Amino acid sequence: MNRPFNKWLYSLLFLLFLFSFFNMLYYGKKTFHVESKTVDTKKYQYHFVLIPEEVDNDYWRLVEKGARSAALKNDVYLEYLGPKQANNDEHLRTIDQAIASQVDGIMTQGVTDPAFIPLINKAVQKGIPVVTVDTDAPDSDRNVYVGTNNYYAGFLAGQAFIQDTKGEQYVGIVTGRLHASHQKLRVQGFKDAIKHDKRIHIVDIKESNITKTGAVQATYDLIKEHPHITAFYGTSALDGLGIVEVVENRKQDYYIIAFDTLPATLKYINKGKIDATVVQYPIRMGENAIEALIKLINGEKVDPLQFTETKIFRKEDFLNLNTKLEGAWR
Amino acid sequence: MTSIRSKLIFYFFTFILLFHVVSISIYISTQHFMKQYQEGFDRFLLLNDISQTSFKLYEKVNGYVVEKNETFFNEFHQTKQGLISKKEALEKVHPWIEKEELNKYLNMIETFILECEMTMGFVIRGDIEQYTNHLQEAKNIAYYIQETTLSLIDIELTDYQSFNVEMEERKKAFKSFMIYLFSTTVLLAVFFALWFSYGINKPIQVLFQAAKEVSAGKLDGDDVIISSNDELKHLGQAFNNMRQNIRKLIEEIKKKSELDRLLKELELKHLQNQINPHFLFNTLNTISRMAYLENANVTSRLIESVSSLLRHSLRDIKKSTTLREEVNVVKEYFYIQKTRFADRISFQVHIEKHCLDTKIPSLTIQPLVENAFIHGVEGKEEGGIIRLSIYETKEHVVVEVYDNGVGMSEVQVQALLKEENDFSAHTGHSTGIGIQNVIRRLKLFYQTEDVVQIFSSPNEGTTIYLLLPKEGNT
Repeated sequence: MNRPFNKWLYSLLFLLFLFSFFNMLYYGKKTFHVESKTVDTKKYQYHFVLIPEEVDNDYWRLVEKGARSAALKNDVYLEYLGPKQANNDEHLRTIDQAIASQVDGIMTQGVTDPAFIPLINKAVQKGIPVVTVDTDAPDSDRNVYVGTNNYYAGFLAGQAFIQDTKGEQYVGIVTGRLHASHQKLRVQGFKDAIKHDKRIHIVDIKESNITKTGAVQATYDLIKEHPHITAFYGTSALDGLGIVEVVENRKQDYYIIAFDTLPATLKYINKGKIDATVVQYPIRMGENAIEALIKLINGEKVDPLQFTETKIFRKEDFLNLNTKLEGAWR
Repeated sequence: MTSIRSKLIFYFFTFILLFHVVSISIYISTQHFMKQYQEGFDRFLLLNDISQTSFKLYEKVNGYVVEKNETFFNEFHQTKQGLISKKEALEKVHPWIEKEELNKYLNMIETFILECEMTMGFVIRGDIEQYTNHLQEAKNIAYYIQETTLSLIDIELTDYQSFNVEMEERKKAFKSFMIYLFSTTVLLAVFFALWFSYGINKPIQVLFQAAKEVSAGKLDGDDVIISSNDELKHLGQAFNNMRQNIRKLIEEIKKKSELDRLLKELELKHLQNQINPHFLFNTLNTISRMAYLENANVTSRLIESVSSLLRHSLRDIKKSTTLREEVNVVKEYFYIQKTRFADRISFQVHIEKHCLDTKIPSLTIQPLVENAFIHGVEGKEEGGIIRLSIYETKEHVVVEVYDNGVGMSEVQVQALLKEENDFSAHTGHSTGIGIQNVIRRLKLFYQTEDVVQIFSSPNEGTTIYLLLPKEGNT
């Protein structure tokens, strides 16, 4: 027998044995190890629902983000529920469900619908505090409104418009919804701001249905019907983008003022396609809404109108982008 | 001591343990997953049941509103109890989703029951406006319950998907596990087999080699050393003992056969001399009597001595005799030699009588005396002395044969004692037996090397001591 050869063979066999043994242990653990599933048993103090106009909306996601961070601090179980796409019936039903399931507080966007006000009143009647976020329903019994002062935001836009333009201006307004109160306020604020400036004329208002294609259609219609238009004002987030898409390929240089700071909007501002935009701070809205609800439950006195900041953002503001847009929609 | 049996038992238990661990693991995990599956399925059924019961309850309320029938009222209460008990059952179920989500669902059911009751109450009161409101509310909530149920079932199904994925992964892991379990056990078995067979084979090889040596006649090999701590070790020890015993036995046999050979040699010499001696013996007796009748007394006595010397030398050499007889022979011999040499040599005898019963091989002392005569004093012109003394010491009966003849060098003495000379070539002895033959026989008879001591130096004479062990002392 060859001794060194045997030695090699034995050590090889032994290594092979160790290899299979440890693999056996590893796969054995993988196969048989049973973890008792632990559902998060964290105790929450309150159960709130946040009901946006549209669930998968970047703007509302920011509101949710703010609300979530505040919820985490305050032991609140937060549910973010609502229609997949803007739909009043579904929105109302979600609120009604929340009422039926006796949550501790409701945060919702105000909806222009005859059934909305009775529903909010019902909730308040049943002792569920309601906070309207972003869009108010001032005629209802809602406890608090948290959000942009839409009238003021429109007014800021108007002032910026006056500041930025010279000569006769014919403005076409693209608005999300003609009958949505916050949109109406934005338009109203704008109108009031330019009221005394004789060189600025509003030629028409068209509805975009808060979609980009709607905005494109509205812009197209405006230009077609009023070829002498020189400027556009978009009152909801996607309106500005829709306007740019139509106007981009035309020779004429239009003045465009938009709403909100979507990444695409910021890009267009940087390129000079959009001249200015109104900045809102949805994260703060979420935070403030949660805090307002907790105060309401604790019986503290709360200011029924809690406005978050609004600012105008122009190309030159990119220099101090971070300070200007902190907490804003990015 | 670990026996081969306990090794085997250990070997089997290792495998049995391994397989049992595996099967128990399989049992436990299967049990766990079956339970999880069953729980999930039960929840499905419960949720579905709640949703259906809610609608049934609504139907009862609606029926009562439309028909205001007592049976509907009773059925309403029954269904309501059913719903409440199901709700309680759901509360007790192991939480699988956020508690808040479940609470929401439970609250919804609660609100639903409340609305239904309110409707019933207002119907009884006849308040149409209120009961239609609440009925509508109840209907809405029934739908919400259905929706929520569906979404809960959806969550459950999503869980199932991940459960399924997990099971799939486990299945794959199980396959790998089986492969590695297989190779591990095979290798383990190989190791056990190698270890086991090596443990048996090596000692057997060693034993086999040793046995081969023994059968080839080589008995003085090294002891077999077996390191394994089992029966084979004992086998090796037993083998070593056996070999040692055989070695001893063979040595004893060798000694015995040598004694036999010496005796046979003497016998042969006797036989050679037997024809003449018997005739001679008879003739000598006749001559002795004739000499006596003719009044030649000295001659008669001399012939008698020769005759008795001859008779003694014809004795059976194998038989031992007593010191007395040996001494008598020596005396006869002395008588003959005195007659022959007259005053040239003096023969002296000092004997302690009580020592004479000591047993001794026959034909021992006379050859020594004759040897002293032939090699010591025969050549002396006068003053030669040969002395035989027998006396007792603490342990021995000492036979001392002294002569004052030519003596020997130390080398010669040693040669005598070591039996280096060819002792058969002695001539001139009356019995034909040389000193070395005597020494050998004495050694073999008493089984000791120290039976003979010789002190001698040239021209100073020689003393031979026979140290015969006292009887009972050997």
